[in-house]
Amino acid sequence: MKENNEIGEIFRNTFKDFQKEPSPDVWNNIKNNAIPKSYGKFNFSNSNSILKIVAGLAVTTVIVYVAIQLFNNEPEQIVTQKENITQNNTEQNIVSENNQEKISTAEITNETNNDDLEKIPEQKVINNSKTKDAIESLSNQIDNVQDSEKDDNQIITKENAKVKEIKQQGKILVNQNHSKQSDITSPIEIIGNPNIDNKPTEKQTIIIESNKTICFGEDAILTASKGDFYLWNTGSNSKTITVVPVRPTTYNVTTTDNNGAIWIENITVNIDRECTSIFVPNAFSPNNDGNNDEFKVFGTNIKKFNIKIFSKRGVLVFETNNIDIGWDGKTNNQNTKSEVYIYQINYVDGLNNPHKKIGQLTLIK
Amino acid sequence: MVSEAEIIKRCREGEKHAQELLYKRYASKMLGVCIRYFRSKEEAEDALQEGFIKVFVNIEKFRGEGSLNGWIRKIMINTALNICKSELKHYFHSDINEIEEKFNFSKSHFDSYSVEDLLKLIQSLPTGYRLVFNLYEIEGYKHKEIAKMLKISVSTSKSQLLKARKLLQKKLELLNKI
Repeated sequence: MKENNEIGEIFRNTFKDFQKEPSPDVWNNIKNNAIPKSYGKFNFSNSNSILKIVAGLAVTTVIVYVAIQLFNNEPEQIVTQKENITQNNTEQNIVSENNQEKISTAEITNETNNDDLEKIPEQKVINNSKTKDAIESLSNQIDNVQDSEKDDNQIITKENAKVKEIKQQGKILVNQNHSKQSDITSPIEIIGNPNIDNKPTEKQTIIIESNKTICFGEDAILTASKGDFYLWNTGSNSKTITVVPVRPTTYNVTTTDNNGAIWIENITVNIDRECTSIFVPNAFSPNNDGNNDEFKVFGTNIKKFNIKIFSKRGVLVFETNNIDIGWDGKTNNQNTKSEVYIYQINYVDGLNNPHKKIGQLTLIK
Repeated sequence: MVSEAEIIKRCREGEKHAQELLYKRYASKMLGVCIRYFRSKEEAEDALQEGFIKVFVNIEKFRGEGSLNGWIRKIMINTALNICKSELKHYFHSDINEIEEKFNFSKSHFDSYSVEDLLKLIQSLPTGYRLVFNLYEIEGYKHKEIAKMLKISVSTSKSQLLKARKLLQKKLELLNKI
């Protein structure tokens, strides 16, 4: 029975240093100054300088937003691909988006002379020059990106990729000339100018394929290798997910970063049924009813094994080197309490790799 | 590691990178505070977001008299209270008997309580109880201060606290029996 004042103490002690990781969206919203609706109540009184800062931030946000919108709304996207990308990355589809508005009017004029690109409407050229003006007023950083984009675009003009247009919401799809060098049979959708270095800058989508092999019954920990924001096909938004597939399964994650680059990663998890596997139950009930009376680890193909079980106060209550010996819940022939215990297992798998596994088990009476 | 003074200085100049550093340093801590005031993590994150914007806008006003941690914490609590206040008037009247909530506690806690369980308990409290309990027991405000903050009377604050404790006690006992 707890006294009232004890209640406060329990909560006070528990939450004194309590921390909780916020989702990445929060910082993103703050960074973009997406001020929540209820923010209107905030009092700005007698802080002219603060007002100026806020106004400055707001103006910057609007400029950046407009620029981003113009980038995104660009309806026509030049499609091409460099041969060496296909060679270097036979397993990768490279999908990238062209920031055509970043190139100068002069260049657009040049490109419109190109047969492959003659369908760019004149109107767009005007839009592009407007955008260019807006962009030039932005920071040096963006100018630098712009310069590199210009270079890329010039290379593409020389490249003279055969462009076959397929109308699809303003996107242009290409039939890839070099597809015979890869195992990709369908037309690769390439939007924009893929970067030769295969370093996605802005507005590109790169598909990354990878494989992972786990033992049957093991957890597979999949980590998105790029980006800042993640969406797995499992619905998770975290960078890392843990899955326990029982048959070979491909998981994919779409990641984006703060610059708008997009990666799609397909991770195929294969199951190796021959290799070492270990299963540690998380609870047992030593009440002699014939069910789960012993805490026992199940494993196959394990070369060396050691388990130590500790009480919460750190007292060693059980230890064995034989995986076939289970714990009956007694310490020195004394029954132990219903409690959470900690186990630490060291084992060597079939490939002589040592492993350490630590977890909790609950003794239920 | 950039020193706190340096971060504050650069935040005053409105430098985004410094703001991010400040955010990263305090976000988890402050969500740990905010989350006690709301029923869900999402609501708490909204408050966190709003609170941090206030921090960045008002960083000039921070004189370094107390700790930055305490200052940010105060802003977070105030932000959370402001958001909660709008629903407060509907909640101060609820009676213990009206509140029969279901919990899904993770088993396996016999003599000790996990943070997550206790958090669920706090979050399950009616808003009025929750605010007063948080402010009094965890933040350590006095009834007088709470009355002022929530624009309620001192006696309301006291009775809300008693009810909150009573309800929590009842629920903790339930938790013990599982």
